[in-house]
Amino acid sequence: MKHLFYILPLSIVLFAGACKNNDDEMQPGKADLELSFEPIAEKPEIGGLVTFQANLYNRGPLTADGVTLENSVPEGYQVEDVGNGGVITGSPAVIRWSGISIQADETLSFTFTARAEKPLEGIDFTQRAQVVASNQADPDSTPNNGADSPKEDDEAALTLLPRAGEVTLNFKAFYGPDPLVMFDREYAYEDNMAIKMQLFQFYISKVRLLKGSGEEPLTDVGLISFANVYTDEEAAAGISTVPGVLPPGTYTGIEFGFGLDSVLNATIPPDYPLGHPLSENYWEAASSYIFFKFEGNADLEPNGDFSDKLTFHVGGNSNYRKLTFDRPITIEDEGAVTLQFNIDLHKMLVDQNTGEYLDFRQVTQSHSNESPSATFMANHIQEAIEME
Amino acid sequence: MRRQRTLYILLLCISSLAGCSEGEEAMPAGRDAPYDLALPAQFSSPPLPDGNPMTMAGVELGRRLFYDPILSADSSLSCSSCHFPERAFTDGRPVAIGINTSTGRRNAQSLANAAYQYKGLFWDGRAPTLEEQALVPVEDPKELGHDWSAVERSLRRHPSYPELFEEAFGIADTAQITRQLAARALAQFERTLISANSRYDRVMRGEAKFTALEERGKHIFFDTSEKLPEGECGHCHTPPLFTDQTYMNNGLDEAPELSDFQDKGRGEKTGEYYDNGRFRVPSLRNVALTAPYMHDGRFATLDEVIDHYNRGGHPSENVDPKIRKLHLSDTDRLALKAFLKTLTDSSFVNNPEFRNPF
Repeated sequence: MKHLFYILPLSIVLFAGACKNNDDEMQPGKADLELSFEPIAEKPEIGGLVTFQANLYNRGPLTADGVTLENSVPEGYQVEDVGNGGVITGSPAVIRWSGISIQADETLSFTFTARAEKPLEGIDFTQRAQVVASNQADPDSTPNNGADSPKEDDEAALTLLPRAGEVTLNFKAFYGPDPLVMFDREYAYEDNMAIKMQLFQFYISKVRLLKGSGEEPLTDVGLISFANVYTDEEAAAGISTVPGVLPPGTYTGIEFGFGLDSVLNATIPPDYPLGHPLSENYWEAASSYIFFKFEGNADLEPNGDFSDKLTFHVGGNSNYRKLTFDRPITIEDEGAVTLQFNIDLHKMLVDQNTGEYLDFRQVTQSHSNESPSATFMANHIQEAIEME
Repeated sequence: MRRQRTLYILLLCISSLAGCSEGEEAMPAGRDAPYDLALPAQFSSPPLPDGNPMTMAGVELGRRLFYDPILSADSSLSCSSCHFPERAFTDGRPVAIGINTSTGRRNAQSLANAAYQYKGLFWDGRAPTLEEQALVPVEDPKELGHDWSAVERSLRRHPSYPELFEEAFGIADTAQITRQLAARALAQFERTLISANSRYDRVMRGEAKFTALEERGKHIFFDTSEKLPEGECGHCHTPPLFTDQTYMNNGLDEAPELSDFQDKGRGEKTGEYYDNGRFRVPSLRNVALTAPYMHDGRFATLDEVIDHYNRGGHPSENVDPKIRKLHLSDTDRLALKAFLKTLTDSSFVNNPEFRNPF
């Protein structure tokens, strides 16, 4: 039955040969409806409220009754209030104003207020409104045919992004003064030992920028892996997080977790789709994600033979470390900021004050989150990471 | 009701005459019915491409294509010639045998849980998706040895495929039967091949218990007992899929230089020197059914595989550091094998929906 309603007026319109825009001619026996959004000069803040106003004008010559207007609300806005008798339905949300009667040369306005979300990649911020029904034929528009973009004058769109800047964290790994690369370098270690790397990776989580007594969350979790860093050039490029967005302003510092806090660590891989950082690196027996991995080979003799295997996998709530870096960080609207961090693996293995170190002649792997080697490395994370 | 229907059709005709194609006629019920892929709760959800939504008709078409020798040059082989359901979709041979008994160079991999393979398919990961993977064997001279243009012609003039393609993809005429649609159908069928009901799974769900030997094997597999040697298996064969989907060198061959590997594996795909000799970590689900083992099928039995790892593998620069001497006793080896056998999923290999429809 729904089809009948739409096809009847459609057929009449098409027979009339009206599938074209013709704004200049006033056609007798019709009502030419035009829709537009009231321009908004100022971008909202993330989380801020915006009142949108759609204006419906009837160029005449006849009065149009039974007019229905719809606005498709994009993912980037959450509607808080609808004016002028509009009703919000569905998901994704659609606001509908129906039973409108508009005389020739009259303008009616329809408003709604919505809250702006974070402008993350792929999130739409365009309001799309259109006339979806009218009991009068329109000379240059067809009701309800403009879901994608405005192409007739009974459709309107308004894109309004909130004020935001992009923030990326980049991590470079070092071993003392040298770039940390997999396979290609030998690194001198304590007591005439040497190591070569095969894997270094870690989770960061709950990344927040600090502002006075408040904070702005940036990213929930990221896996920083140097597994494919084979050259000094690749090491110099570092590994970046997926960019996040924040409101512009000057922040006083940044805070993030090395590993996962107890809340995230209580989740399990099936909670996430494959490809999500937390869909892997889980140690079921320990009921914990592996917060960081360090794998490689050691020459313990020393004789140039890197035949001893090193595999340190560390997780467990007790090895989570929250790191704070006090540093002014300025983010501009539509700007992009990269925050640079350096992590020195040598400082995770060797205490820079006491000279105490993980003795690979005694221990070559960590399979328990409570093992002394796991705790030793976790206790040295703070001094191993610096912000440039 | 009849009157309304007549009016509806009349209006549709008018609309068409006027040159507008609004209001497409609804598809008959069931024709494009979505396939309800039952995803196991213990698995992370797999990537399901928007461009190839699974339908009942698509999966059924994929199953027919999978078992139909129409895909080979001499109509002697199909996908199923190297992927037998009773062997968890492997073939029992060291390396695959293709058309004219040509010998391939790698072992046919299990298709169990293929939907979850999101870091590349084949031993070297050269196909990023099942849709792209499905295109390859038809034109491989050591597999089906055919060419897709000829396959497309055969499918178009076949007595039943045009209708099956039409049902699966809504094509208007036979000329629209393409290799891409065939690959999409094959991928849809392969995504249904989910194995998640082994004895191991039943134990994890609290519906069964391991024997003492299996329990011992589990501890060795996952390095969870201080009293038993560590098998180091669970690092790469991570549950629940029993693979971490990485590429690694597990020490099968000694190689003074990584360029010395005859089969460079992952390095062939990436061109990266340190990827030479690395291969995809296979899932161990149904491993008792998928002998022989490794990318070249060099180990005939699970005992040989366990012995290899127990010895610590052969040296080369990129042998994974988790490959190390394990010091397993005879009882430990038996226990490990007993645990591996708990990964056999008989409901998977006996599922009639996965069997030959002809």
